[in-house]
Parts: sequence; C-alpha cells; structure tokens
Amino acid sequence: MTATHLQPVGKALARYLARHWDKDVQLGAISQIPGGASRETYRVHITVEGVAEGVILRRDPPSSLIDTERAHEFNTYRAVFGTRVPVPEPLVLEDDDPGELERPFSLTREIAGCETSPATLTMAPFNAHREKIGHNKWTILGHLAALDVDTLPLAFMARHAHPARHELDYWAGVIRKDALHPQPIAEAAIRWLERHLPPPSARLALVHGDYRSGNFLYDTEGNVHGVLDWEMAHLGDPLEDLAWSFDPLWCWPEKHLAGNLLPRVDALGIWERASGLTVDREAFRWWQVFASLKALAIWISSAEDYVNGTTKEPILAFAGWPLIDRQNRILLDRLQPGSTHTYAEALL
Amino acid sequence: MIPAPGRTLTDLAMRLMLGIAPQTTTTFAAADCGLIAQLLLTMGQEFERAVDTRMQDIHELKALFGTAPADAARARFMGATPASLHLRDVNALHDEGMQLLAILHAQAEADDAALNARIWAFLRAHSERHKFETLG
Repeated sequence: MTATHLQPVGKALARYLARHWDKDVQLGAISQIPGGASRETYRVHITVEGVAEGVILRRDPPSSLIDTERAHEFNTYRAVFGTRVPVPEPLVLEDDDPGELERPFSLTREIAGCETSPATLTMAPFNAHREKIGHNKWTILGHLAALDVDTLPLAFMARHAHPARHELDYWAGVIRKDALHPQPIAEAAIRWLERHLPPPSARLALVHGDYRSGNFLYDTEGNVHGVLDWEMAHLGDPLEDLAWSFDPLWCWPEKHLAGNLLPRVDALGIWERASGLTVDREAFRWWQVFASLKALAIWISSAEDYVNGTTKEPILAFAGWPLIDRQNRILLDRLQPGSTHTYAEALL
Repeated sequence: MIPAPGRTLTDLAMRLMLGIAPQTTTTFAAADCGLIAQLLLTMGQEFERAVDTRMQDIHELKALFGTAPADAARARFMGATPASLHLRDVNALHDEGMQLLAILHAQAEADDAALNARIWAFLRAHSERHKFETLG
C-alpha cells in the first residue's frame, strides 16, 4: 500500500534514477519499513524501461541511533555480495549529491517475500521452522567468519592489532561520553573486561557488528536469503558476532534459546562446523560480557541522542529507557558473584 | 484534573494500541503506535514511582556508605537531602550517590570482598526496583 505522504519520496527517487541511469524509470508503490533507527527505510516498486523491480531505499535521517556512515555499509555490501554470505545487491550509493532526495541515501535490490521481525519467528508458519532458521542463521555467520578478509575489497576498514582492546576502548568511550546519568553497572562491566582482556585475536575476520534476529531475511520455509544492516561492520574477532547473537536481549524474555531459535550450545556447534574454527571458551566468555556492554552503550547513546539530538523518534526513547533498564539487569546477572541468573543464563 | 496520571497514561497506551493502531493504513504507522504505546506504559509506571524509587536508592546508598571507609565526599552525601521532591532535584542527589557508588565499587573490588558483595546486592535491589513490569 502506498501512503500518500510518501509519494514525493518515491517520485524523487524515480527522477533521480532516470537521470542517474539514463533510463525511463516510473514509480509504482512505496511504503516505509518500520524498525532500524539508523536510517529511513522504504520499499519502492519501480519499472525500469518497462521492467518491474523492487528496491530498498535507505535515506539518512537528521539524527541516528548509531553514528554510522552510509558509505561504510554500502561498501561492505559490495565486498560481501557474491560470497556465501547472502546480502542484497548494492545498486546506488549517493553520498555527496542526493539531488531530488535531499539527503544522502543508498539503494539495494529488494529480496522479496521475506520477513525480518524477531516477533514473527514465534508465529505460524515461521515457528515450525525455527530450528532450520537457526541452523541457517549460524551457518551463515560461520561462513562470514571463514571469509578471507585479505581477498575482499575491505581496504576502507581499519585493522587493529588487538580487536578486543580496540572495541572495549571504543564502547567504554561511548558510555562515558553519552551517559546522562552515572552507570555503576556499566563501569563494573568495563573493569571486569579490563581485568579479563583476552590476547590479540588469532584470526582477523569481517565482523557484522549487529548479527541478530531482526537483521536477516527469512521465508516461510525457513530459508535465510539475506543479512541486513551492516552499518557497524568492521574487521575484528569472529567471536564478537557469535557472542552478540547470543545476548539475552535478542530472546527476551525466553533466555534458553539464542535469538529465540536454538539452544546456545547447538548454535555454537553449527557455527564451528561452518567456520572451521574452534571457539576459545575463555575468550568467548569475554566477548559475551562485552556484547552485553556494547548493547548498553548503544542504548545509552540513543538516550543521549533523543534528549540532545534533533530527531525525536520513539525508537530512540524506547532504546534509551526500558532497554537500558533491561540491559543493566542482563549485565548484573552476568557479573554479580553468586548470580541467580534470573535474566541471563551463565556464560558459556 | 486527572487524579491518577499513571493509570491515565496506561489507559491512553491501551487506546492507542488496541483502538487506534488497528485503524492505521500502513505497517509503519502501526509500528509507531505500538512503540509510543509502550513508551506511555513505561511513563505510566515511572510517573507513580519515580521519586519513591530514587529516595529508596538514596537511603540505601547512605546506609551502604556508612559501612565503607570514611571519605569526605561520601560523608557530605550522607548528610544531604534533595533540594525538593521535584524529580529533577531528587535526580541530582541520586546521580551524586550513584557516581560515588561507582567509585567505591572500584575500590571495593580491589581490597574489600565483603563491601563488594554489599554493593552488588544494592545494585541488584536497585535494578529490581527500577524494573519495568510491562516489559519483562
């Protein structure tokens, strides 16, 4: 369904593409996709020289949940497209001269007929395929970990000698810069992570940075067709993504199934087989605590953005309030001596 | 006059979620309604308890600091009261106490296991007190 107020955005895109591709481009339907606070996302149906196709337009809002660069995500799509990790085909990146669309944007080809919502995973007909979706989810993540970063066009990504050190410094810095109130649980987590810092990663991998239920496209048969939202992608330790995908936040309030899909040990085994890597359990404990801290940092940053930024998106307020509360309880469960693990299972 | 603002916010949230959201014509608008309704529910809970939960934290922090080694900043906090019961004033003193707690926690981790355990117990009680029931 096309909402009338979205027509100007769709028409502006059609005009831009007609000029950019030097072809006849006509607008069909346009709808806005909810979720994903870092961009305005639209599903647009167009015809190009009379041929119908679907595209996904992601346009910068005035304010964003995560400080990211659109070029970074788009260039990561370019690097990954065509590998065993399925991603939408990147079509257009407009960083400097958005013309008719007024704000920078990127365009990818639509992968039609799929769902992304974590909530839908628990509903028919998808709930019958949760195990298969989970198998596909962690197989793809294993394939991502197995990619040889030296053969991919990833020169735009920084290489850090000690990824854990770098990530901790970065996200601790976000918390200390953006916190609107003192964060004693976050500070305790930062100290724990400092005390238990693992050695530099044995293997440098492409890390998605937000690999979770909600950021991949699945169909009614349990197949996974695309991994989305690569804004936080970076070179780092492959355990970072695995730990992030296990955070209790992504299966709340059901703490026994990672991503509301599979028991963690099963998901871990699938990942090991697909990646050809063996999980260093000591390092993995560190990355699990780090994942919970990173999530808290993102929620804290979104709260700051809501209060001081120019965009008053409800998702920013939601992330910055009840989600901070929830993430604090997860971290507390992880770190309190003698924890009863009310909200998070013990670290693997 | 609205005699029970917390309950009214909850009522508004339910109307938005169950009455208005189903009438919207796009998924985006329906999702926005759901998110705003959840925020209203959150505000409904917080409205009723905001000052009380923070004052309980402040009282427990003072008791906790009383079991810690003497310190001028903590002593000042233990003798302080909020400038008023307006939330902004209660928040100011609450923030001061939580900041002092973070500093004390770092020290206790290094050399006082019993105090460290009491601080974790406080943080557990604090987080349960501030939990949003509707959200799990």
